[in-house]
Amino acid sequence: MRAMLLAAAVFALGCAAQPAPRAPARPASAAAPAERTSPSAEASTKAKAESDEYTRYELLAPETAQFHILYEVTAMAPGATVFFNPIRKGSAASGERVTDRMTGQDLRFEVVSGQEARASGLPRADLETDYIRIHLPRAVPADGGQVRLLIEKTYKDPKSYFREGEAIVFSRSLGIKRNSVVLPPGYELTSCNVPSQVLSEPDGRITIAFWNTGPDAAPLKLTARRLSP
Amino acid sequence: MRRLSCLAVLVSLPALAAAQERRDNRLTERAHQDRDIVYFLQPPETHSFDLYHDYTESRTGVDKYVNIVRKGSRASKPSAKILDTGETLKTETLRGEEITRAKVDIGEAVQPDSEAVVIRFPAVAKGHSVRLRISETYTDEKSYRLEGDELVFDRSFGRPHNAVVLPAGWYVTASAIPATVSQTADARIRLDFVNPRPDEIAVLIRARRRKSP
Repeated sequence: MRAMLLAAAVFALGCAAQPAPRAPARPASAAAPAERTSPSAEASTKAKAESDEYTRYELLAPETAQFHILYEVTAMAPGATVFFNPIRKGSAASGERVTDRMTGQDLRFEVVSGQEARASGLPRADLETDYIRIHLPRAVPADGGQVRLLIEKTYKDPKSYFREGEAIVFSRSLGIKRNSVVLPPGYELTSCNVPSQVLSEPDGRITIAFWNTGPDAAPLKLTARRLSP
Repeated sequence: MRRLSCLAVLVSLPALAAAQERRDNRLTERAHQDRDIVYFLQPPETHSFDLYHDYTESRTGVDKYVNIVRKGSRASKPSAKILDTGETLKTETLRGEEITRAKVDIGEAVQPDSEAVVIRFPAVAKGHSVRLRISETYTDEKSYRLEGDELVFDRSFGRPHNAVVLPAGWYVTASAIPATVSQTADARIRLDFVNPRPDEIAVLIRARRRKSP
């Protein structure tokens, strides 16, 4: 059940770090606007809840239809002590883990309803959506401070990752701008529709990596086949 | 003849090594690089621009960041902090012999006009990382100048993500490299450049002052 609830976080859609409410009875005060400073360089940047997103998809054995996801994101809202990651229902996820990238420390998290998210720091949470609420290891520092997170999970999605004859296909709309996909061991890349770097991992696996410079999600489709032994 | 061949080999070995290094650098994952710089142009008569540079250090044991100031540029007002904690870091600007005496490796031979900004921080522990913000003001007559009524910013960028914010009251009239354009909270025009390729882009921006504020 928990795995179902945690399934399919929509990484591309509005994760949000918010200051924790000072008092639960007054949730409106929880969403304090980003702190403003004098018209300095930093004040000229847009106030954002998160930034620097990057996702790495490591394709597991094709018959499992599973891939391991490593999602890097940075909480930016000054004073935030929790971070919300929306969840999309419908697929099964497992092996969830959240890490503080500054220290490598595991972080506590739980699944909350949209209503609970609203009450605990995300006033504009969608009531139809569940969220992963991550407890940040320290409040986001003011004046451009950050808390850098790594969210990991293994995802099963036969619609995104499947066999087509002799080929394997990874077909997925990716909203995050920076992405990489690592093929299973022993596979060669045969097609990729988004211009990408092709690189080799130290263990010989092939990686494709790209930076989507456009405003829309990248409709990535790549195919691969097993190399002869 | 044989001596000449040996000499040729000796000369070409460093060149080969450099070429190999360039090839290797190109084969790093560009999408995973998270170094970026935002430039805030000051009035063009000053030839100055503030900038901040965000950088993550994750190599175990590393305890300083050395920013080599480009030839032709002068750096001033350096400051630095750890973005993860907000802690302010000490900076020092070293020139010529000072760099040698401090035993700071700038990755090239130290010249009398070499300039480096050194930021020291607690050594990175295994499994940890630190995100730094280094702020400076650069003055560079060649990169940033007035041509008649137009502001010209002409500079190559090597990092995947850079942004340039025009001075208040100026509007963009040309940008040679594709950019997304937005307005900052204080109504200045900002151009964001994302280069997904492992090479440099030769950014050339021209702008004019608005007649009405």
